[in-house]
Amino acid sequence: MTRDRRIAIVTGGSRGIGAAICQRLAADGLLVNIVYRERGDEAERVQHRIVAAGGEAVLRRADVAVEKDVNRLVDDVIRDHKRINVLINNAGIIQDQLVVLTESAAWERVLRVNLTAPFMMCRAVVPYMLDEGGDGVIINISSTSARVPRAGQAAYAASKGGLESFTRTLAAEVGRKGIRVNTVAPGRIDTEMTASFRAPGRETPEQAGWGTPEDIAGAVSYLVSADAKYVQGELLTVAGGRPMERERAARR
Amino acid sequence: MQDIVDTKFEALVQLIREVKPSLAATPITRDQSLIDSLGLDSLDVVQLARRVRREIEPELSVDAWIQQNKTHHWSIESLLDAIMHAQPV
Repeated sequence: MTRDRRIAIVTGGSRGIGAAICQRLAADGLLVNIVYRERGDEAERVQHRIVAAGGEAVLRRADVAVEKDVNRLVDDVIRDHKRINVLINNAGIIQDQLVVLTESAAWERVLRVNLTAPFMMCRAVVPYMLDEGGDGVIINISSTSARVPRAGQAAYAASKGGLESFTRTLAAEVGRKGIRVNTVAPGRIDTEMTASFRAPGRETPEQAGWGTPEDIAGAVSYLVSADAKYVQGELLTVAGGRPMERERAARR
Repeated sequence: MQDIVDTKFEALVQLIREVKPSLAATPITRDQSLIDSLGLDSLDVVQLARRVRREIEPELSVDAWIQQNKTHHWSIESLLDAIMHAQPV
């Protein structure tokens, strides 16, 4: 069975949006390599849910912000599966702070994880996708904050804006080889990472119309599928229409 | 020896046409440049070199051949020569 499955790598796969993407792609029939940095127990739970549902998943511990970890991760996947068909660059961090209070180290850490790491993953994976005759799909997970940031999001928004530009550039480079590279930009998604935005006194997810990780996983599933074979270098925003709302943006 | 060179050349031509299908009906000779004569770009060359390593000569030093491009100007002859003289690292 494994021999026929397309091979996927999902970074930041132990929780939140990444976990939902892992489960969705496994349900779609892919063998999913769940990449996690610290939360091995949560990654294991994702793997158990996938296996219980009849899918296949492998756990891979790696810090994708570290180049040798990236190369080892890709080497391990190739050693075990011989090919890589799908890469989802989902791992990311948020360290919001006003620009005047942001230390250089924090700025560089955000850009390292959110922008440099996807670059290193793509650089390592693309040659193997070329080996497969271009049977490759890469999806970078951005954010609506790249285009509509709030105060304090300079590093995060810059990293995601850079990731969107990087996605289009890579699509221009490898698209003619059959490798599709696209971006999914989630809006407000109810996860552990965004829990601080829902502190007491703020809107509840239900009131604010927050999305779920499964909403993003569905969009990723579409872009991975053959239904999206003519979709290249695009940005798919999944935000429940929030970026179009003027009311909240105008509130002072 | 010449038979071996000819066999490798034919295999190389086949890989060049796989990487750039538009060359299917184009005559390919050893004195041509992959880039200047046949229109491959740098991504094509990377893809070709990886296929050469996988299907013709696993010991080919791709990096060394690419680094010498100012001398060989991406000629097919130079790639064939690198294949024939490949040695385990």
